[in-house]
Amino acid sequence: MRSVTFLFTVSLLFSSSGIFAVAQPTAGELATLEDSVVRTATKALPAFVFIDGGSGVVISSDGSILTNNHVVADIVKNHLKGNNAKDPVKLRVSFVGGRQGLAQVIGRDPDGDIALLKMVEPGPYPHLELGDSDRVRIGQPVIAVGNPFLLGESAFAFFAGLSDFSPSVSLGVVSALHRKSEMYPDAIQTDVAVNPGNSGGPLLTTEGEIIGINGKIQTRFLMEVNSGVGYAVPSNQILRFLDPLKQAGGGVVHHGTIRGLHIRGSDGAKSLGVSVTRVDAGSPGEKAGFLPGDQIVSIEGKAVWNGRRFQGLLATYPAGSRIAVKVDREGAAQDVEAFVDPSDTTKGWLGVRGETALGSVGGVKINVVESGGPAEKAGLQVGDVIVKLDGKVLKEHNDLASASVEWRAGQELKLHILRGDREEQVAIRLDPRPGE
Amino acid sequence: MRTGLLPWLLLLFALDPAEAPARESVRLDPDQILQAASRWTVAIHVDREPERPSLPRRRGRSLFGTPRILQEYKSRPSGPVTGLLIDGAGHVLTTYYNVSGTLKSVEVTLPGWERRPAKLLATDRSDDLALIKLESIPDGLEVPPLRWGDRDDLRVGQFVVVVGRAPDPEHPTATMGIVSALGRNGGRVFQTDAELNYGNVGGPIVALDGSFVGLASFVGHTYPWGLNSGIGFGTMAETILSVLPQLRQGENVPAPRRAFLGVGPAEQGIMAGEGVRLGEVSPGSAAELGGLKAGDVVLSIGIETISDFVELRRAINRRQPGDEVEIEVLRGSERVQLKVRLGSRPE
Repeated sequence: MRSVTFLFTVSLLFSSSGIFAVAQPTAGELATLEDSVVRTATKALPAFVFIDGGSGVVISSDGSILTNNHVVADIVKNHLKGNNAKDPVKLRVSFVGGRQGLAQVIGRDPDGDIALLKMVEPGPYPHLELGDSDRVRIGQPVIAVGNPFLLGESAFAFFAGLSDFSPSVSLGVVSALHRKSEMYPDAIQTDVAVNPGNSGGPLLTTEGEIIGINGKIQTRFLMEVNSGVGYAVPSNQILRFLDPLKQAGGGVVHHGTIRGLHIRGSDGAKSLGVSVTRVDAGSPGEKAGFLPGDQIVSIEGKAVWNGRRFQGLLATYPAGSRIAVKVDREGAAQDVEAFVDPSDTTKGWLGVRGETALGSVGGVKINVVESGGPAEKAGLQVGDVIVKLDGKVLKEHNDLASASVEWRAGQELKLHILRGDREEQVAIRLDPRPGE
Repeated sequence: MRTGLLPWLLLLFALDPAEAPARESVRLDPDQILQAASRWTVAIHVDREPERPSLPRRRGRSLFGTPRILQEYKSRPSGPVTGLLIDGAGHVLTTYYNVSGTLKSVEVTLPGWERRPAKLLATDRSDDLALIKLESIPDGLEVPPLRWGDRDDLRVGQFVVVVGRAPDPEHPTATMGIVSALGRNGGRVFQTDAELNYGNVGGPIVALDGSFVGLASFVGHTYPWGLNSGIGFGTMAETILSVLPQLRQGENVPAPRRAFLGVGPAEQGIMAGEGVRLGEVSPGSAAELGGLKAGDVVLSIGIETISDFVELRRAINRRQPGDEVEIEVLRGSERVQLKVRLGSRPE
């Protein structure tokens, strides 16, 4: 617990003389904090979930579980490649004490790094409540529960006698809020000890409310260990994604953007805020009512102080959200209702694997048509040879691979394929890439 | 241990009669905790033969080209380490890590006294403990007996303070954290997030009531969690007291025997999610004596469903030799429940 080291160093310097009165916690103050940490740990342990090399937490008595997307991503990806790809993804999870169960993937938010699971067995399950992350203050003590270095679940036998399903609890403080860092748009930064294995675990107040899900740490010296800077996805962002996740049917939920709106962030110390530089004609941004010159003041009542904050805050809303934006238009406040469209940057997925076709014509011969993908839905078959993509001749596999980098979800491709000695034209609309 | 604490409770009354007698509510001010603990915390100076950096093994890649920063991180730093003086005879407890390697000399700086030679008596490697002894005691050194904490009082979330004497033996350091987990290393060690570095391991871990609950351990350049990562451990007071008599005699404590079942998987037997088909059952092993047979499919051990051999091995490793376990197998089409008493892993 780094933050208290300073207190002690100071008290040591003055302890022998006893003359100086320095602000240090008394036995009583420490005892109060200690009691709340012990109580929270006791409450949190039954709601903790061990998930394949990471952590999770039960958030309602029906057995809904939150974790990071990156904890389950590989399992999902492997499942989708397997024979039962159409079946829902179920994972084996365990609880403190060793009880095991199956949890089904309900929905995933890869950009926000959150996944929602649900226990297959009906509840009730001990759980913790999601709190209000906007009420969190810098310096506030927070508690993390997780499975760093897999010590709690003994997946690799470090100690001679292995530990029995007890996660690790650590204490620290909130270091900063609204960090746009390490791929998280609006993270809570904390010095609580979180290490590989803590991902997906809860960040709690001393009252036991979940204010974040721990997911990333800043490391140095090539060592994958905590260095005092950890990032958690805030609970309010997660709360906005809960309903879309519950309705995702095992699939993916997207973040979004206000299409057609171009902004310029503040230029530093003096001027605050974000100004609209351009609004594309016919775009959702224009339809919402933004005008060039507007100063964006807040989104949903939350202050926007610069461009990074604008991007970060916007990224905490799921695609399909309606958000209330306040702008300053030539000195007068204006309300703009904006719609969050799926981000243009969601990568497109065709759903085939292939190799360079032999013979003088060349092209890409399809070896695998991925189950549930756009190619399968469009009727592509193993053995088809793709010879043209959007009018351009494909000679070898690399031509297809390099084109695929630019693909976006929703984009339509026109393919010319050879099936036997017949040539066919197929139009395929790309899906978002599954299992990021 | 409980009777041993009674005189100490009375002494506390003598020092501060205003304090309530109940142990739970006796929590000291940070000053008092530190002053009490740092009296016994000593600096240990170890001179040893040079060691190689503890770098992860890489296939085909030599040390050459490894970033210098990583080499330094994975090497033992120079400077003193920490230990705990535990009696008037000059016994000093520290970690096995602090005295590992080929030693040339060991010296101890007691607070307020000059450096003096000591010798390594014995080690308990699996608990990361070592006992050294001063070769001479300074006249007038007063060492009241330590107040060891009771294992049953330890709670996840409670505060602990770790005291060290590195890098400067004159000035103790303190880091504070909580008990992160109990039950590590078969219940012999607890985990703490109080920062531990390569200098303060071997130092005492003290609870808010001033009792010594453990010795800072299992942090060093050879461990994957590095230093100051919030992953640290304390070898529990009870563990220390249980091996002290042996260590005092100069006897190294051997590594504990591991539980052993005595089965191997069948070649095509590892069916993910459906249990482990046994290919062999070692003659005379716990498995054979318990009634397991080749061809049985192990479905569960205790409350844990077993889906592959890794899980089976894990379930056995988690237990002690002599533990009785319930093993459910599929034999043909029948489910059979067996009670097996685990043996000891042969060396």
